Amino acid sequence: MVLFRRLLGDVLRRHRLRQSRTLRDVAGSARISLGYLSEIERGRKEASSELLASLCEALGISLADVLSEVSYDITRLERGALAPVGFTGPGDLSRPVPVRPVASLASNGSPLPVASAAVAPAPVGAQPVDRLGLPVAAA
Amino acid sequence: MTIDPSAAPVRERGVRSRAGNAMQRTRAAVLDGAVRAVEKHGARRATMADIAMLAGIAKGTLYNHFRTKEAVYAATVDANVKALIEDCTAVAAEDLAEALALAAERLGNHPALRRIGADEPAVMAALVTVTDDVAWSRARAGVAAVLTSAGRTARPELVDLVLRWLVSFVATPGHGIEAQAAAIAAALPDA
Repeated sequence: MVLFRRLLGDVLRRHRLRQSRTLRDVAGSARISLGYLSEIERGRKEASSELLASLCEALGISLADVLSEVSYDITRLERGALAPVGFTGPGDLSRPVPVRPVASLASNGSPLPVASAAVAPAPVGAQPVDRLGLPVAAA
Repeated sequence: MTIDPSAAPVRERGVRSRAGNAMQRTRAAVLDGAVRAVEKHGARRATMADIAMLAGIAKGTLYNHFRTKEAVYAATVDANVKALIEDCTAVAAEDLAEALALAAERLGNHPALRRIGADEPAVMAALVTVTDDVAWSRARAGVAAVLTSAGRTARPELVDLVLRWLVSFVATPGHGIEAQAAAIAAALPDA
């Protein structure tokens, strides 16, 4: 199951580490506790909208950019898990990303018509992919 | 995991200049580029050109900072370990279990390590071989700092216990990290 807060935490941590900043530094400028920031980065806690805004400010990035990165990661994950027949593989970024309902909603009793997508067998010739939907080279 | 001191240009300590800051920025970009290059190509197949491209700098600029790919890797491991220790030491002052879980998870989900784990068993074996060399001594000192920050005893056998637990996540991401971290934190005696 793809958890939004997990991917959000990954994106926030990636930005922080890319700026070579410590948890203490960012927690200090965002005025939140160190442990709490660590839990948000690990996807253990849900960040409130207010907290997310001050985190983005502390990191000097826009909320829009953060959310589009999360959206991109979700797309990659789902493409890896639910590659449609004929799809040339997750490395092909020239193709538009097929839009489809989120499979995990179906298990929550959602009326969305996602039916068999989640359990469909992998298409013939599909590349093996890792957790992030990146192609895994044959050993 | 030894670091060749001749590989990096020497800069006088305490000198802060615009050029110096730009140099730090470039260096940070290189280290990030190295992680991405390994994630994309594997440690052996990644080239200096790949690293420069993913760092967004010219190849010549990369060679101004590092002479060899091995030097880039050594600096990357060093910087990643240092950053991890810094974060864990800070968090441990509040919550040791959280600090341990954060370390285990970051190692287990590290993109470059996962790529090496999938494709390059020989490289991985070298990475997880705990020795007494400089880099591992630094890792031990880091674990000791984390335990001390949490008000726990940093006896050598306890440091090694935690270190070896953490190293297992270099090889493979684990399950039930939270519970394990909590169990270890609960078992470590106060200073």
